[in-house]
Amino acid sequence: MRVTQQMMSSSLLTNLNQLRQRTAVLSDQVSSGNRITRVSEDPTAGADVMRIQSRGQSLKQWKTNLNDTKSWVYATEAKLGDITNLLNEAKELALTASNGTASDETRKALAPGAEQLLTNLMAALNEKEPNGFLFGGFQTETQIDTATGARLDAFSLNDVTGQVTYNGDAGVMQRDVGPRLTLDANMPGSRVVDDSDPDNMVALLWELKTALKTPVIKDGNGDGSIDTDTNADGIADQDLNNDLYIDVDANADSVIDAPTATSKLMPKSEAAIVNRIKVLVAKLDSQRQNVIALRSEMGARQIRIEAMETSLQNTEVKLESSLEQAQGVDPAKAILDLTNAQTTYQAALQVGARILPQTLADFLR
Amino acid sequence: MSTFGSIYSVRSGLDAARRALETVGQNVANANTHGYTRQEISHVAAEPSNVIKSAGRGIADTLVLRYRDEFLDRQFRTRSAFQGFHDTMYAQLSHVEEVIGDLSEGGFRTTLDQFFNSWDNLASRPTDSAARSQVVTSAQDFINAAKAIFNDLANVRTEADEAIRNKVDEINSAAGQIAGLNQEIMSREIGGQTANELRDQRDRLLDSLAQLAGTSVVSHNDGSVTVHLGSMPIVDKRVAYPVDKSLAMEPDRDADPALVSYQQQLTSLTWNGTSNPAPFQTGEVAGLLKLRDQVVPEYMKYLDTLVRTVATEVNNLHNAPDLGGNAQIDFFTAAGGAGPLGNGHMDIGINAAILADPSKVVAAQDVPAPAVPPATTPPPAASDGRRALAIARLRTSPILTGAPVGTQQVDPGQYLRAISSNLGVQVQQALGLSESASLQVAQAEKHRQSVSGVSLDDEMAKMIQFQQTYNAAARMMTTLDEMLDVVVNRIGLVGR
Repeated sequence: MRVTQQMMSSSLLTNLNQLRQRTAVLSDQVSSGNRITRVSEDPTAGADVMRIQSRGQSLKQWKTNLNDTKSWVYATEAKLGDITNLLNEAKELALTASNGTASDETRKALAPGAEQLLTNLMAALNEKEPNGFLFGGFQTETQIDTATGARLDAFSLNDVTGQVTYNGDAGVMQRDVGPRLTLDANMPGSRVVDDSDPDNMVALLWELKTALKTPVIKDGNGDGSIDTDTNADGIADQDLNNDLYIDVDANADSVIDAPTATSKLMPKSEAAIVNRIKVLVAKLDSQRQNVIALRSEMGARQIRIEAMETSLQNTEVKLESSLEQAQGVDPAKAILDLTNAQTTYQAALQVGARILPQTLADFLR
Repeated sequence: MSTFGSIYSVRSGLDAARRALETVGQNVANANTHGYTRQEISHVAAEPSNVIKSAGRGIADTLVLRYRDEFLDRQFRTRSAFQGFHDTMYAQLSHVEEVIGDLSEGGFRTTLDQFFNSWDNLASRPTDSAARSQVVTSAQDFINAAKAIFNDLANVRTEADEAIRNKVDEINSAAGQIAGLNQEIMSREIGGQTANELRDQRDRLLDSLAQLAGTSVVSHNDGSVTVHLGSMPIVDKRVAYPVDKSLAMEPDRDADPALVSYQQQLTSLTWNGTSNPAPFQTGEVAGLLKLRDQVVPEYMKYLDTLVRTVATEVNNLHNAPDLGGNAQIDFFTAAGGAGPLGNGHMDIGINAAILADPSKVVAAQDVPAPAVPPATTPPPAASDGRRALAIARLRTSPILTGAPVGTQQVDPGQYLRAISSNLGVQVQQALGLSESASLQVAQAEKHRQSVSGVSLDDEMAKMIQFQQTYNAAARMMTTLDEMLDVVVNRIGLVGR
């Protein structure tokens, strides 16, 4: 093949240009730490990078969701613990009050304690930390009844009748914490206090408080019968049907009325009161068992959350390392390649410098 | 032979050597001229006269040869048309890739992720008005980013269109010049003159025309050429047939109503004076046309499909009354912020009512029938985020199918990644093809140079050769002179 000066210089230029491009690409890679900045440079790795980036965005949200769930679950668990303690105290108090040696004065002295327990229980049920009512279901804010102006917290107690009302709903908030992984954040209050059950914990504590406050009717003359006819119905106060409430026959039809809010607040015989409190002890205990069961359910959730936390952290680390693998540059290799490219470039320059300027003219005289 | 016959034949030798040296000079001077074809003098020895035992009568004729191989030209032009096509495709596709294939975070892909993240956030804290505002803001970011990309793509088309107009101007001008050169070359060569420099000029024009339009050349014995674009002659000897260009609204190219509104004002190229499209098959213009009419519209369509599907699905889920008990409204509307999603491309916006009052964003699953006045404030479902959660879960719902992903059902993120990957592969292929085309062109150019290029070594050698020939001829002249001197001045002087 005939080789001309132009061919040599143009092919040298082409080669030098290619080497320069390669050097530029490599030095870009080394200085930015990224092997690819565009999908076309390596479509397979590019697709990986995009997938990992998108997964990273989801992961960020999952972590937020998990933290949010965590604060709900931990707060709920702690509150259920408080409630268990309250019920324990109430049970202790009831035991003390129903003790045979406990006098009327002793019970009177215990009454403020019971009242405090009731207040604390209501406060615990209406807990608003960390973010709205813990036990309100989807109702996390205090609602104002537009008709009456009444404040509707998660639970409201009618202190006269002892009737507790649940204003929340059965809503369970769900949080996505992973691909197709969902955790429940809250526990609807209806599972803690069933307001349709007359023996719910609020009603029990109200009864305890009421029983302790109810004045006792004494048998002053020791004739074995109660002295007073409190309601002045001409019938001596007594408890014929042994339901622990004073018998009242308001409409005088000779049938004893069922106990009402008013009759619950009536004075009673000491035996009746003690009996009532004794019954309460057993009922309080069954309520306490229920709360403990709920609490262990939250405990199980805590364990899941902690497992999820670890797994999300692991995923994050894995994502980072696979992103590095897909997009990152291997510095040792890149620098070696760069050095090679530079050496080749210098060699090409030297060869060019030696060969190009020479023609036959240089040797002719 | 006559007395002075030898002087004439030596003179023809001197003359020939001088002309050969002139040609060497021309070659050396043009050693670096682009498109120059080396020339050489070919001598024809003169026949001897009728005298018995006579040598020849020197040099009868000198021809100027032009070293050119038509086959190599054809090879070069085919390859450079191919290179023109793929270079253009690559250059333009990288513009498109700059728009949607960037791997850094914070681009369109991130706004899509953040859009879903904001719904997820709202699901966690439906009572937080900031979460609602965030949903609106991130939806705006998402729509704006999509529109920006869409407009960038439309601009790529407009720019390609401008480039097409310029290149067609170049083509028409080159065709005109070639027709002119044909005329000139024919008239010169018929008169026995050489037109080698004109032929070089024409070859250069034919090269650039091939790269622009993928034309092919047929040469004729009279020195002229015919240039074909596809099967049509764009230059036939003395006549050039320019390509017409007219700016018009692009017609609907697809039955899909969604394609209607990216109609743009574009150039249509028609064959000289007819309404037939000019047959550009390869070369730069064909590359630009393919990009403008096929590749970019496809990506515009993908992008539109993505945004439209997400918007439709969000609207389908966002179909409950708001907390105030107001009747349901669409989250995404037509571009103006009112009315249903339009048929046109990117005819999409956020409901103006929601923009004005983010509390109209619906997060709750069931809102009880509105009572007047409402039973409580806030309404009982205030903290229900199930509907927002369902919208956030669209992130992983297989709601999209079709072109870039085939028959697969994929989620929005996958679809968007498929668009970018698809483009990445296309760019990579274009780069590979353009690189290999460049190599082929370089190879063909090398072969051509090998035949037509000037080698200084060759020329130096020839220079010495012709210089020595000249010297020898001059010496011969001196010798003849001396011989004649003897005959003229010395003969007959014996005994003087």
